[in-house]
Amino acid sequence: MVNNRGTAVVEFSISAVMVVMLILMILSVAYFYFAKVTISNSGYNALICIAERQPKSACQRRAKKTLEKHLPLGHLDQVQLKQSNSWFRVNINWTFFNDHKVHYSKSLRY
Amino acid sequence: MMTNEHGFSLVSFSIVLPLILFIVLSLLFSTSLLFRHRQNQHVCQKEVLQLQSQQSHHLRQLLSLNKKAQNLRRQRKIANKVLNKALQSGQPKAIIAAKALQWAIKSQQLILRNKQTTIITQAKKNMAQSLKRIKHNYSKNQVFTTVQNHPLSLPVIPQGITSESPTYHPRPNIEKWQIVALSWSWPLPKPWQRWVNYMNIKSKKLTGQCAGTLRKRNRQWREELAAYH
Repeated sequence: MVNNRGTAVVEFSISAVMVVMLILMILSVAYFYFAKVTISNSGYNALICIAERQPKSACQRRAKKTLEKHLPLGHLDQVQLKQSNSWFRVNINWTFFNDHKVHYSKSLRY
Repeated sequence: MMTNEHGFSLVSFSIVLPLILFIVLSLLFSTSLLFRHRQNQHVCQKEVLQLQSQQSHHLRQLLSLNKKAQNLRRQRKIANKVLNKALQSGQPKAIIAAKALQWAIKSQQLILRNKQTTIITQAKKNMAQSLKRIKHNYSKNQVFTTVQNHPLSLPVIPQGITSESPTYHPRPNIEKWQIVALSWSWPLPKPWQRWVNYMNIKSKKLTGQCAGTLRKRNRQWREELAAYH
């Protein structure tokens, strides 16, 4: 008779690590996707906000507040709003674990 | 004793799978809600801008007649003076010529006034029609209601109203005066409502608001989005 207990422990730990890694990976992908949608939505709202001629600082503050509230993980690098006589523009940069970056840029011409 | 450890991964997956499914479904649901909200908001903004675009067109048309109206008023004053002088001189030919000149100018003024009135009436009619169209045309679940809309007439103040050809000037504070705000609601489809119940969210419809106004840009009145709270 062979003792299989040691093999079972090794198999269990390998499988457990793999399952945990898989869950973490799925959660990260989901969070990243959620972040992209949230950034695009906040960016669009900020763009409409300056197009409505609300104070630029207020629009910027609102977008920052929303992003920081909804995306506690990751770092918000920049929320920039620009306007000229014929266009409005928003730029948002967000970093997730240093190497995954989300850049959102949209302009509205009138 | 020998034990079978092959089922471990399967058991782990069966525990994890509902969690993964829940996350994916929640993400899809919230994303589609966000996109639907943005799409409806976009329709609202488009409609309100279209409506204001018509008004800005009428406003530009009306303001472009001001120069002619002023000129005619000036000419009328001169014609009145000429007629007075002719009447004082008592010469029938001069009186007839002066009266003819006065009538010619007066008729031009009346034609111009008629044009101005037509533009104002047309603007009023278009505004009413557009609002009616917006409210009735969106049977695709998106229901519109007007929140603020007091300017059913063009935002102008006449000057020289006693004259046959008054000039029209934009109202002070026109940006606030001209605001037309629409609010919309979009009831969630039935399968979504089930999900909403499951997520314990009370509201079963998406709602939003948008507003548009006229603003002077590059010396011309143009339609723009406005803030309305």
